[in-house]
Amino acid sequence: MSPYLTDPKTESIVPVVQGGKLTSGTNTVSFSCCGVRIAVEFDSRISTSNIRSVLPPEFREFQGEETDHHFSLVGAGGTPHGEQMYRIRKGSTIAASPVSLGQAMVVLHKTVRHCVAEYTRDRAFVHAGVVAWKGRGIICPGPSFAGKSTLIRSMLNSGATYYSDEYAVFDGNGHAHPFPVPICLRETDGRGQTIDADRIGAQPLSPSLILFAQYRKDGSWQPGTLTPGQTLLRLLENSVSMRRNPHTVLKVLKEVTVAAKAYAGERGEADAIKDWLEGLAF
Amino acid sequence: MKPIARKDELIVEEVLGEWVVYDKNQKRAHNLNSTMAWIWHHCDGRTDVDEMAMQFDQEFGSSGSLDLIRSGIDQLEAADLLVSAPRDVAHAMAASGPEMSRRSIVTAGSALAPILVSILVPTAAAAKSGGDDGKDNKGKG
Repeated sequence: MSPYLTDPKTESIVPVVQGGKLTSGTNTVSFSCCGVRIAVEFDSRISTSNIRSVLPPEFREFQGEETDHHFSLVGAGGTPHGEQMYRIRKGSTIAASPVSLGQAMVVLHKTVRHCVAEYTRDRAFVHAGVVAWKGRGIICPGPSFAGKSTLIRSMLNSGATYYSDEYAVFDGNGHAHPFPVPICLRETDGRGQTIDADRIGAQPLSPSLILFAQYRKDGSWQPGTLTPGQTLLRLLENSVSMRRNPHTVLKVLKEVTVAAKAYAGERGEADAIKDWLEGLAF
Repeated sequence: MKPIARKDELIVEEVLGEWVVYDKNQKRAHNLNSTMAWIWHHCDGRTDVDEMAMQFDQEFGSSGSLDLIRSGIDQLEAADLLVSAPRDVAHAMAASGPEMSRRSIVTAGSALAPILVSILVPTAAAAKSGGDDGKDNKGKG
């Protein structure tokens, strides 16, 4: 059978997919990250370096077919406006149909990172921004659109070192590891700020402060303190892999909780927290 | 009358005097403050509620903690952290009506009040989106 078929919607030629795997006309990058083994199969017209540029930090490529998760990225014809469409699958399930290569890279990047976050057995991923500020680790947990990126950006503007604005990645000692969004994606991804490489954290970071700061337009940052148990519960609310790996996640986040002071409250402008931090005795 | 703490399918971590309990069946996490943790720990199937209250008073130098213990056991039962709940406690609380409610309010205001807060641990997708995370504060204290 020909490895290509005609897409009935676009009448363009697309690779055949059997059982979630492309049959030919593709290249594959297999890698592991945080113990999760992933294969990304992609249309051979896309360069391997493009794919590598959006893989998660600390990824290690390997040869071989034994992987836990399989992604594919292929061209899927053109739009009526002449744009090239793409299709991203996880296994045999269509995850997204982006309309440009740049958008496809952003989606692939997010999907693969989330897969690592969900399935890792080695580390605990929490939806949070992370910076080092005056030598202290600051963790800002919260779901998407809770204002994490704005808060992190404000701290970066004050000289903080960037670790992540998406996931806090904790090892067994409760230390946060850098998990930055690749610089090549920051503009496309809507984060819109390029960060110099020397401002990106390199070493694991012991958390000193955890801020549950919920943005509200008219909010005023007058936080209350949280007990360790309350803090752990709120971290679990933002944990990605607690359901899949509860023993590890609970132990790791306990280490984080014991090491750090935690505050919660509503915030208005992010700079108010920056001022508050200046006056805070760690 | 002699409550038993549930142990199956639970993961328990002690965090500086508080306990965090994860229920693998229901995908819920509970935070037990130190008083609630003490009560749960004493739900050993051998100690009835009156004895538990006396032990509590001796240990913490308090007095008349029966309502406090009952309040704690009621919350533990609601959170499905007991194997069997002492039915007569629920009956007694229902029967005593407004008077018991007032006492519960006094209990809730005390520094030793047992507090249990529960969340539904989100799926990976829900944690990402910040969607319905099923937060259901069951704290009554």
